[in-house]
Amino acid sequence: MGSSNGEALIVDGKRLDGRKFDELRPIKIEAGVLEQADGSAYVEMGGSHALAAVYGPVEMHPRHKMLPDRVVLQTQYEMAPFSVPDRKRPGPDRRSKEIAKVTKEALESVIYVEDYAQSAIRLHIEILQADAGTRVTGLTAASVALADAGIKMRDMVAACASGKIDDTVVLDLNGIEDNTGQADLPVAYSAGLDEITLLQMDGLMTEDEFEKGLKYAIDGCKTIYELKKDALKRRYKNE
Amino acid sequence: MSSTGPHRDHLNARNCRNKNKKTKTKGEKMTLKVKNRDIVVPGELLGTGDLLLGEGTYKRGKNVHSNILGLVDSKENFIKVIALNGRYIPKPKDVVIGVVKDISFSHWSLDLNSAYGGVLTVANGTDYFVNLDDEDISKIYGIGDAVVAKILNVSKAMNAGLTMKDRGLYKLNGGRIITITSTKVPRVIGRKGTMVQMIKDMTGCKITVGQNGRVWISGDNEELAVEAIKLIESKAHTPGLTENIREFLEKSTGNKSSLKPKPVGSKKPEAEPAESKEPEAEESKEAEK
Repeated sequence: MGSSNGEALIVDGKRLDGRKFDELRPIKIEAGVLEQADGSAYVEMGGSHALAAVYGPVEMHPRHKMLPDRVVLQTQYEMAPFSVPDRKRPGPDRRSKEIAKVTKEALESVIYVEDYAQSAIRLHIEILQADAGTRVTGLTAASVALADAGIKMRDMVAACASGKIDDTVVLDLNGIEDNTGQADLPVAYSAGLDEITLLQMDGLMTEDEFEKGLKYAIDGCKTIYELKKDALKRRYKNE
Repeated sequence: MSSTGPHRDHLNARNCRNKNKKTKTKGEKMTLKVKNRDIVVPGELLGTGDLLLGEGTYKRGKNVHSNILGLVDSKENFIKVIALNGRYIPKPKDVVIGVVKDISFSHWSLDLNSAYGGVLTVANGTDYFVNLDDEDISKIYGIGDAVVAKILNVSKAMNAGLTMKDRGLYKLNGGRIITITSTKVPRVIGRKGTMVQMIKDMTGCKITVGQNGRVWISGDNEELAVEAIKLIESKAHTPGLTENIREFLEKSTGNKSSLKPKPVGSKKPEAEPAESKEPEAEESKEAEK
């Protein structure tokens, strides 16, 4: 990727792709894209494209991992081999497992886990094209897919990331900004409950920068939240 | 069971129960933020104040929110959200179509098209006495056999206890089983069973609808019945569903519907020559709304 040798990421107060500091990439959300899945969604955040499928509640396998009083959200996050410039070796790796884990925990906090006790909800997130922020793209898709599958939830979770490039806090990093930037702050937020369900940070930020980044991300999540609502309603309206 | 399920929102459950009791005085201020048949998403605000909550809703502070993707159904101060999608979860008194997947010494394990299975004991499975010591119960229902059964109880472990000792519960022979989304079953049955009766009359098929989303169809015109049911499934949330299906069936069969209400602009609905009236009981009384 181009500018790892100290080229400016911000020129004349604008980012390389012409966005403002607190501007999201173009977002496209579509619900119910897969025929076989109980619920599914396709989300594009700029160059990051994610597909999520939900099956269930289904019988829990393996049986010994069943929980007596709550549902198990079996989450899989996978990047397609062709999703990145250099082929990604398929199959689970450390990073995929970590992202699956935090995604699962971010979503479990809004699902009525007790209502589906002793069963499993299978969630598959496939990254078809990666350009930074795949975990938040995947998480947004997953949440739409869960709602589409008719899973009971207290609220929906939207996610987006903010970060720091050229000593400036910005919203929703793209690939170049992510690779050469200074920090990355993915946030998942449920707008109705006013709860943060995922918060990670990679890189260094001061306390003030963090606060600012968090505010940017939460505002971004609120925007995405509305888009998700539209996507789900659109699915049943234009028939 | 009333449609108001147990309130599971730990944070607010106790709070709002107290509040409900206190504000029982009628005519409290309550406002609805949505209209009937609006599509709502999980977490969406439905209204505020003293509302009676049905399924698909929960209370957060003073506000009532949806917890599922569905259609709003409200009457006076009662509000519920009818789910648009979702897998079947066993519930007592439901009539379901189960498929035998395992046989033990004295019971059958049934697949109910759900995350949870069902158990049919010999005592509940047949009307006559079975001597377990010298009879092989797989002769009664073998693996792969489909039966219409009723759910007696659902255990804490979410296993459904089944019975076949009631009217309209029997082993299915011949025909075919199709699976639809369980939330659309009330649409297929229609108000007081009118929809399924119309399909039966116009296709001449025997049809049994299980609450778990399995539909058994048997007759010469199975294909058409399947098509009609699939059409209902895909258009379940649209208004004027019955009329659409009637039109579809009339066009396909070239016959006029023999059902009485609202003749579709046509002269007179001519009575069909004695359609095969099934002895089976009507599947479900709880055709919603």
